[in-house]
Amino acid sequence: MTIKGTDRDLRRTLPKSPTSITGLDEITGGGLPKGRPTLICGGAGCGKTLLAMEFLVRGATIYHEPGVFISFEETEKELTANVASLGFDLDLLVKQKKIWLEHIRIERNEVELNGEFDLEALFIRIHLAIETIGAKRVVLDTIETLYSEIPNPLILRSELRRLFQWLKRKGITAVITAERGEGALTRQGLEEYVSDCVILLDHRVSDQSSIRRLRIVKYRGSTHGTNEYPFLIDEEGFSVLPVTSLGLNYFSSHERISTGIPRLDTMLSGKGYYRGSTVLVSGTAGTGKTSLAAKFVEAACQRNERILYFTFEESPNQLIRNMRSIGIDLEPWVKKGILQFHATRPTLYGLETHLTTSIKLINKFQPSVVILDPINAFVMGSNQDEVKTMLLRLVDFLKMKRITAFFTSLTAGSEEMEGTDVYVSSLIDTWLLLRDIEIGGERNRGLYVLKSRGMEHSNQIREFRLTNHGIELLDVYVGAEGVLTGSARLAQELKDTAEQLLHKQEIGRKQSGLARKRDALEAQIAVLRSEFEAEESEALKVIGIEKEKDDRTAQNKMKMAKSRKSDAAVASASLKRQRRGTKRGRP
Amino acid sequence: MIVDREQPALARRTGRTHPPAGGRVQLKLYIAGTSEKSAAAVRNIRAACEHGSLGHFQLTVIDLRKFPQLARRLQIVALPMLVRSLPRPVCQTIGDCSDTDRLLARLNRQ
Repeated sequence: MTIKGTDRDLRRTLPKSPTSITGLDEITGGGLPKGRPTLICGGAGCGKTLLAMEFLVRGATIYHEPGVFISFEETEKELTANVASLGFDLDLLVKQKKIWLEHIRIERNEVELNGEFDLEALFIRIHLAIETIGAKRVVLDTIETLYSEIPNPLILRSELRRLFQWLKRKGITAVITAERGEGALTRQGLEEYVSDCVILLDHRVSDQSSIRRLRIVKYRGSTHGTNEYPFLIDEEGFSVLPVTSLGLNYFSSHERISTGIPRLDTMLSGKGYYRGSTVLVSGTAGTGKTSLAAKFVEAACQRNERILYFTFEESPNQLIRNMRSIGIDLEPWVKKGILQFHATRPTLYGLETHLTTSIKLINKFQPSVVILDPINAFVMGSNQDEVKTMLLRLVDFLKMKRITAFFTSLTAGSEEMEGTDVYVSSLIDTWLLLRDIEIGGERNRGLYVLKSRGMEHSNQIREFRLTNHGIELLDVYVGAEGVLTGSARLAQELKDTAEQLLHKQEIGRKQSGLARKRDALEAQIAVLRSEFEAEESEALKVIGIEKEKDDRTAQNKMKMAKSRKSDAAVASASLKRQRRGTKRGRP
Repeated sequence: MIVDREQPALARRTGRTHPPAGGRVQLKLYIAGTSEKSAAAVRNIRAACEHGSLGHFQLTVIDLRKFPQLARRLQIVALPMLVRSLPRPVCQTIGDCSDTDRLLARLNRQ
């Protein structure tokens, strides 16, 4: 910024005469060319005279440059009366010698042309006027009238050329107004010799709404905005809206503000919207867009922020009453003065007027949140592009001011939900979609986050309920049967509980059956074991008896051998005893 | 009779001793300085009046450079301008009046 500034200082630019008209100095880079004539052209009723007059009055009151107004159409009295409605007291300015009004009139039927003539008397009059008040600015409103009054275009042309050069030599900043001609900027081709700066005013009507626009056709020796800029004439005079020249260099806040609904905050990564972002809530009729807006308003009011609420369909009273039914009371905030409603019918005036009045109101009220409810009220016929341009300008303006914007948009039920709002989607940072879910003979509302720039947001659909104590967001039933809401969800939930109970009982039954089986099994095992033990002890008894029998037999044999003196038997018996002894010796 | 007046308010009215049958013709010629057109207008009108069938007339030449307020008061834009203030109706001619016949026709119109 600083580099740019010094750069600009170093380069000597064309001296300019500031107009002090809102926005005009911005797009002309400082005003009209100083000491040169400027041509303002446009059709009837587009505000040429007013622009010229405001240039003069502002010059006289703000920059101490007295001005001369030469009118070829209206008398001094008419002029004074006409601009009084804009708050200019011409009588006073004339008395203070800051403004000189002069009406020039020629009645053609009295005049005959005979031979060569010139407009020297006009020069004399303008000179007198300039000298009397020391004027620096001169307006010639609409000098082309002379063409119809003096039927000699050749002489007139050269005389007007001489007049403009004469004014330029005198260093007068002149404004010349001219009626727009067929296929040319002016009827008499004035643009051929007033070529330093040409401003074109336009007043069109499309789809029954009027749009005023201003364009700088040419500005010799200076850069200027080249677009068509909407402008407005109201009780404060002329204002041009050069918002599109602002560009995309606004500051982005990291601050987050609550949506007023805790569960919705959770859906937006737990913190809500970004401050200064643009939020759109779109949905079909009756899905609760305004309620969502009201909740946001309430939350902002509780944070003691200022809110400007533009409503285009409901009156403020109606809106307050309706919101009370869902437990939101906005009236105290209105009384406190931090919430202001502004209700207008979208058809009341043209888009540009809406835009400019909105901007004026915003500048006056300095809110931190602005609600537009609903934006699609402006769309009539095929003016979607214009609505988008208007919204773009508004969004740019709000972003520059770090104001959080909240728009609602009504979507036609039959169309594709996202498709109908596409014309604004690129402007939107956070887009919530409300939709009807129709199941089992009832309609319920569903909410989901379509997009939310710069944050992790939930992809879940939530059931959105308006109750007499506010807004509730509930999880919807998602299961084999699809997404269910409302009574269907309740029914499904009951069904689920019943099923679960049944299932639990089943498990219990199975478990107890198993236990019984185990018991039976264990009983059998015990029986078998006791049988086995019985058999075992029986067998061991038999074995013991058999062994005793064996030993007795062996003893008997030994006894018999002893008695028969048999060596072999004794030897083998002693060998056996030895072997047993070694075995026992081992560990 | 031709009267060149510096200041109309101070001008004395001079004329012929007897009024003509057609009534008196009073003319005012507004010019700006000593331009070629101004001189031509004075010349042409004088000639036309003196040689034409105008009869008794009075011509006043007024330099608007000297009386610029008059231009505003009389709503004058183009110069030279000749005004016949008498007889009524008032009629105006713009230009150096190089067309004598046309000038006379206009001045003689009742």
